[in-house]
Amino acid sequence: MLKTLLYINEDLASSIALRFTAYVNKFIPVSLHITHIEEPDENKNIGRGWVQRAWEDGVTSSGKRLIDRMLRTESIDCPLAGRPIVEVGDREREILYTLRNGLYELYVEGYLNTADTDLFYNILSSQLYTEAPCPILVVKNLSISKKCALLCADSVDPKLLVEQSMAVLGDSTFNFDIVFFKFCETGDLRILEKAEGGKNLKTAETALLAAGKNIENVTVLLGTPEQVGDYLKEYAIVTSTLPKRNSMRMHVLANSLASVLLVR
Amino acid sequence: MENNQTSILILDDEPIVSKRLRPSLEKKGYKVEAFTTSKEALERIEEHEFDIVVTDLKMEGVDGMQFLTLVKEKYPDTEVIVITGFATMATAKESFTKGVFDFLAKPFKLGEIAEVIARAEAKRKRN
Amino acid sequence: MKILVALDTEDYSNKILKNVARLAGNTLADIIFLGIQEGTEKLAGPLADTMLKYQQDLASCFNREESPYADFDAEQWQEKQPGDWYMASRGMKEFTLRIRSGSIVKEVLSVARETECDLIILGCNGTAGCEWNGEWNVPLRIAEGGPCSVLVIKDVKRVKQIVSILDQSTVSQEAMELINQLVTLNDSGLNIVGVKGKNERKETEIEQRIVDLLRYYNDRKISTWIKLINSDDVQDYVTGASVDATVALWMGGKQSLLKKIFSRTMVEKLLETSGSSLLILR
Repeated sequence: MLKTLLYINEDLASSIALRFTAYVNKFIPVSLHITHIEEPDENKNIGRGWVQRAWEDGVTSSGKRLIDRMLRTESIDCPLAGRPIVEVGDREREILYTLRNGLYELYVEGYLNTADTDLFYNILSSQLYTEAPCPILVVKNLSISKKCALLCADSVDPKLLVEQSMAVLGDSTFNFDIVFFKFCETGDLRILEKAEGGKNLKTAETALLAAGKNIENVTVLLGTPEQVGDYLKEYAIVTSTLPKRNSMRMHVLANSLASVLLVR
Repeated sequence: MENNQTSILILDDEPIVSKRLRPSLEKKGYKVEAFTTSKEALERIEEHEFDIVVTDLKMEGVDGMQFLTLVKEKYPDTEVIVITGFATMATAKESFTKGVFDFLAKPFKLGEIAEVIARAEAKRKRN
Repeated sequence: MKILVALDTEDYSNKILKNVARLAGNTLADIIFLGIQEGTEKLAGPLADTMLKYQQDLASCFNREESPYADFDAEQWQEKQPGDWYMASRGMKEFTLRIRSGSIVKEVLSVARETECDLIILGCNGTAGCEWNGEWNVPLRIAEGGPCSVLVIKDVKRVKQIVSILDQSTVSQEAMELINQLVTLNDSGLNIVGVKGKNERKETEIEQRIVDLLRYYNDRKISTWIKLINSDDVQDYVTGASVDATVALWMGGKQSLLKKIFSRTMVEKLLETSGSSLLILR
C-alpha cells in the first residue's frame, strides 16, 4: 500500500484530486490520508492562551466538517486509512511537517489546469515542492487512461527518473511509455527516430526494463511545450524529475493536460 | 377512467430529461413515473407493467440496453423507446434487434418524443 | 434529433454529404435537405436535379435493408405554397427534400423555425466568412438568427478532438447534447476550454462549470480534459486548435464573454482559416 497524503480544501482542484486519487487506487492500492490546513487570517487578532485554543478548536472542527462534506459530495470508492489531519498554520510548512513525520510515500494535490505557465512554475519552485520528502502528484485532470509516461529529456537524469517513478508506480498495473522531449520553436509536432533520444533515452529504457516493466512505446517528440503538453493527454500520469528552473521541460509540464508526478 | 390512461415509465440518469419530459407528457393525459437509476426503475418494473418505457442507454449499473432487454423479456407488449446522448449505429442496431419501438438521439424537441410516444400508444392500442 | 442540411449546387455542399450520412446513420435523425433558389415562379431544374442526386448519394451510404430512410414513392415535387417545393418519405425516420425561393439566410432560418430542427449543417467555401451565391457570412448570420446550433463542415476528415470553448454564461442542455453526439460520432476526445475574464483570480462560475463537465464526461468514460485560458489568449488558442480539431464555440448567452471577444470579423476569419469544422452552439 502506497502511503499517500492528499491535501483537500473546499475547492474544485481538491475535488478533482480526490476523484483522481480514487482512480489511481484501482491501479495501485493506496493507504489514503487526508489533510486540510486552516490558515489564520494575518489581519485578524485571534488572542492568546485559551482564547487562541478555543479559536483553533473551532477552525479544526470546521476543517473536519469541510472534509466530510467533500467526501460525501464525491462519494469516492477509496477508504481512508485514518482520521483526517486538520491543522492550523502555514499551509506549506504544516504539510511538510506532516509528510516528514508520517513517512509518506506520495503527496497529492489538485491544480486547476491553466495556460499560465508562471503560475505553475511558482508552485514547482515553492518550499513545499522543493523540500518535500516524497514525490508529488499534481492532479490536473481526471482520466480514463491506463497508461503512464515517463518524460525524459537531455536535461533529465534518466536513472533518477526511472528509480523514483518506480518507487511510486512500480507495483501498479499501469502500462508505461517513455516520451523523450526535444524543443523546437516552430512547425508541427514531429515524431523522430528513437536514436535521436541519445544516451539518456537508452539509459531510461534499460532502467525501466530492469525494473520489470514492459515498455509499450518509446517516442521522441520534437515540438513546442504546448504541442508536447497536448500530446501527453493520452496518459493518466506523466512522471518527471522536478525541473529546477523555468526550462522548456517545465513548460511542457505546465502545458501537460495529464496529471504530473514530480520526483526528485 | 384512470385505468384507460396510458402509463409511461421514464428512466434517465440526467434528472433534467425527466424534469422536462414528465410535465409535458402528464399534460397530454399520460400517467408518468420517472426514475434516475436503473435499480429503482427495475424494482418498479417488477411490480407493475407499463404501456410504454422511455429509457436512456448510458447509465451506471444496469445500463439502458440491459434494462430494455429485461423489460421486453418480462413484458413483450410494452413499447420501449430508447433515447440516447451518445448514439452509434451499433447501439441503434442492437436496440432494434431487441425490439425497441423507436430510437431517438438527443437533443430532441418535446414535440418529437411526444409524436413517437403517440405512435407507440397507437400501436399498443391496436394490439 | 432533426437535422436541417442547407445545400446548393457547389462542390462544398457535395463534399459534406458523407459526414451528414455518418451523423444521420448514428443518430437516426430526421433529415431535411434544403436548397434555396432565386425567383419564385418556377422550380429551377439544376437545383432540383442536384437535390435529388444528393438524396441518392445519401441513400447510397446505407445498406438498403438498414437504411433509416425510405425511397420516395414518386419522384415528384409538390408545391406547398408558391416558392416552396417538397418531396418527403417516411421510413423508420423522415426524409424531406425541400426547395425554397428567396434569400439563403432568411429561408434557412424560416425552415429551421418551422421544422423545429435541432441542428443546421452546411458546407463552406472558405471565403468571406463562407459566401453562398453572393451572400456573405452565411453560417454566422444563420447562427446569430437561428433557433439552434450550426455545424459548418469544412473538411470531411474524421476529427480526433473536439475543442469546446465555454465562457461563464450557462450552456444549454441541447448544446451539451450536440457535443456528446459529435464526440461519440468521431470517437474523439473532448477538450473543454474555459475562458476567464481578465484578472479573475478567485474561483469563478466558469471553473465550476468546466469541472462539472469534466466529472460528467469522466463518469461516462469519455476522455476529457479541461484547461482555463484568459480572455486575452482565446483568439490565438482557437485559431491554433481549429487547424485539426472541430471547434465548438458557445455563442449563446446574452452575457456571453465569447460573444464579446469573438467579433463577427473573428468568426469570419476563423471560418476562412479553420482546417476542420466549426460548431457554433446556441
